[in-house]
Amino acid sequence: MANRMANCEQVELVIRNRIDELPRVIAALDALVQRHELPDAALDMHVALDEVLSNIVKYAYEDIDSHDIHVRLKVSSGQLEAEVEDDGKAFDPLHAIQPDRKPPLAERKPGGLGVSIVKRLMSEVSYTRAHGRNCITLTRRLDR
Amino acid sequence: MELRQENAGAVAIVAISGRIDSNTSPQLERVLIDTIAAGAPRLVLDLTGTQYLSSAGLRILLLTAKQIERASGRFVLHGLCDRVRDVLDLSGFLSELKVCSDRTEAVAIAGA
Repeated sequence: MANRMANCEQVELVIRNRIDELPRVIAALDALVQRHELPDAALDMHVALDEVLSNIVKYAYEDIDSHDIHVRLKVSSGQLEAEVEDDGKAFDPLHAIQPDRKPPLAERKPGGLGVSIVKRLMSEVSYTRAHGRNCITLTRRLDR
Repeated sequence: MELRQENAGAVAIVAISGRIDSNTSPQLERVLIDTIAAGAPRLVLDLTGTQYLSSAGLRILLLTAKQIERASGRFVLHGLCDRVRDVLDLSGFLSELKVCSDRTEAVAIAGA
């Protein structure tokens, strides 16, 4: 569902908690970027959404049921915003423990870097937990 | 994501175009595992056409680097755009890897 005004548009989609659903979000983002001729900086949102959504799919649910993840993508006044809402267990990425980046290669363990990447690439990241739902808002200003 | 494989003497070159994320990284992992298993692990990753790399891709690079290090092989990257370089740097991984600015140098180092 899209709500479009001059230089401003919001797209909403709902995906299931499966990795193979992520390309739908990336495709919607690609279309939005193309329609508004957004600069390359918008690619940072692709990376951040991949991190946030794959994290939810892999870690938010302890059951094997199918869950809906709501994604809202919004272009407005020089910025790109994504809001991701899920009904998984509480996870505040802003207070997640960051992995040690110093061990030598052979001692490194994969994983745990997604949150650091999101924080680095986004202009703002906010998190709320209400009514049993996580809501992460990612903002990328497009002027840098 | 598109992968193109070439060989330069004993060096295997895998050129990656597009996006390395949680959806495409399993394909990359399969190709890299096969490439390493196929012979002496001398591998160059050409990232000239890579638009971005998420942590799913970082994981594959880390596993590949560790496997090649254990086998006393050589692993060299080249063609990093700022977005890819930034993610590698953030992970603390950039300083652990050999990165070259052009393919000729990358192949020479991997094949030495």
